Amino acid sequence: MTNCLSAITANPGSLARAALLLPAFSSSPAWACFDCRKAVETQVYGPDFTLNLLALLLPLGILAMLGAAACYWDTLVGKFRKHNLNKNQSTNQNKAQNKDQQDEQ
Amino acid sequence: MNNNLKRGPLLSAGLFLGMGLGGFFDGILFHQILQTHNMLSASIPVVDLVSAKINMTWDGYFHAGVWVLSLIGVCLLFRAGGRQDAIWSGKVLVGAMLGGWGLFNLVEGVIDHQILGIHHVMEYAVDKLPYDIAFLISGVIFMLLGWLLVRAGSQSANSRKP
Repeated sequence: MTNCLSAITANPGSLARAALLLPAFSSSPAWACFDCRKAVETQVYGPDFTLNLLALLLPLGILAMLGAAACYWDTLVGKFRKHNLNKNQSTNQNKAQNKDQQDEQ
Repeated sequence: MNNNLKRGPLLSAGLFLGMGLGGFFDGILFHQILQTHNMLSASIPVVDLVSAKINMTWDGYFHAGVWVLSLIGVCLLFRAGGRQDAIWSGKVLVGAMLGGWGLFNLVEGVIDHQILGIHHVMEYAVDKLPYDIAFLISGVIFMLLGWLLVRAGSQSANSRKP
């Protein structure tokens, strides 16, 4: 962030060039051809816009969550291994106790 | 391999990059070059210029989404590169990217093609199912290959040289 700011202050021309893009965000939502622009805008940004956008972004959201979960891969694998280790230890203890009881009988 | 080295940072970076680049591959090859389908081509069939332009807009939103995934991948890769406690291996990175691509094909294929039905791989084919199934199978194969590469890379990976 600091690097970006220092780059902009060092070269004010880059800010001016970036500012040229700003009208694009405040203008017509779709710059389709003259003949079809109105029809495209009406149908894309109509009542179904949010629904279509959610449907389109749903798989990407799920993918992002899976990718984020991979950040904790080592923690998850560690916990899983620890859980299995505890489980095996308790199973072995139970087996040993059962054997002792059988021997006593 | 040093067991204390973490796989998570490089794995998640590779997965995000694979998912993003897999999305771009889909968009560039299937949507634009081959034009076998568009993002909403099942619900808004491409029959004239207006419907083509509408689908083009939705393809744009899809590409914006996969661009964000790729950007996250680059940031995570940069972070993983600076960590001394993380694995740094080309095999793990390529494997994770392949896995991410496979995951993209699988998740996108199940949700968009099978559950929501907003488009199919070959929209204009008489029988669309075989192509959709092939897409899902490609996802599983990529994920398996990726997993094998990640395993091989993790076993041979060493700590970062100073």
